[in-house]
Amino acid sequence: MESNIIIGEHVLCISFASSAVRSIFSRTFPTVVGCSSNGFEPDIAVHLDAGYGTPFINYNVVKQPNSGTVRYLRSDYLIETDEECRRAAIRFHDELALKHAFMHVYSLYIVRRRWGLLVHSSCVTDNKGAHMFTGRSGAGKSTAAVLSESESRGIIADEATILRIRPGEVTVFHSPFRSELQTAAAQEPMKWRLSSIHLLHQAKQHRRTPIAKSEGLIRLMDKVFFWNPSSGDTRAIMELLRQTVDLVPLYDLYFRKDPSFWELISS
Amino acid sequence: MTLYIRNPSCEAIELDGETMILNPDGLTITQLSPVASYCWSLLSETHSAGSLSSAVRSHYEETDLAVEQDISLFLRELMECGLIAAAE
Repeated sequence: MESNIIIGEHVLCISFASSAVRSIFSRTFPTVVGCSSNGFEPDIAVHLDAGYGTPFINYNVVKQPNSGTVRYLRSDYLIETDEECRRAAIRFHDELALKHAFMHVYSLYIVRRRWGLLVHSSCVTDNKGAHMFTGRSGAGKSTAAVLSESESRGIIADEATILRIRPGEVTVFHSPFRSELQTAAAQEPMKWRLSSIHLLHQAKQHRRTPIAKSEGLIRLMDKVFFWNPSSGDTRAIMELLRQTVDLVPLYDLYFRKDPSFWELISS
Repeated sequence: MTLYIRNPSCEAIELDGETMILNPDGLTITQLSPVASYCWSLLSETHSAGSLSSAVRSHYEETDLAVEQDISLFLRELMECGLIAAAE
């Protein structure tokens, strides 16, 4: 059994080892958008099966290159993919493992094509575009997103923002990779221009200060979801980050837990 | 006399007039001052600490008396970061 889904600008053909695996996939990615298989070749083919490994222990991933394929092993998932990441087989232990393994595969695919990046952040749209919120663990990425939701603003990511990066333009897409805030995507793929990037700090008063591009580049490096990069992957990630910070203004955003911090962003 | 040259796998990243050096093998990024950036541009060819110091003295009108010490320290730090190597 198979389903075609859309993530970013890509069509993924997902095949399931059983109906139980399909149910786990639907629970893990409730907002993912399906599409028909008529008229186009999928960008990535992914086969899913359960019954692998043990529950999550840590984020350590072992990379095992083989002739023409690469295996990525974590305690709770196993990915086997070709070099281009056009085809992948994932075996997973539970929903968390499936989500992380799927993020792993998608991040590999978009970096290898120099298409864009998957960034550990939340992202909110308003009438000016999209605004990304990132920071250290516990800095308030999800909190900022929850506080942002209103009639004129929507949450398109709460854990992993999908960035499309090309010369002169950085855009973002609805992300199905969520931690807790599930918001439905439009049936037609939509994208928004990324207007600002905020590195979050919880504080008693709202304050926003610009960050130099070079400092922003360094501070975003560890926010990119990617595991075991080759030197070629590292070059690709850094070039994509360089283009991003060159085009999108970065700020330190100090905020307390109320939505009035948006006055700093909207002004 | 030791001669130095860039590690060919390293790449310079320019942003707003600032230079950073990416070492994709060591997964490091190193931000350079303007003088260090000038020295990095010269290290596409082999240089000794002495020849770099002379070049800096010629390029900048006001140069600190301790430029040789600064250049030696700079080269040692680049070596430690894997950004340059001793030339054969």
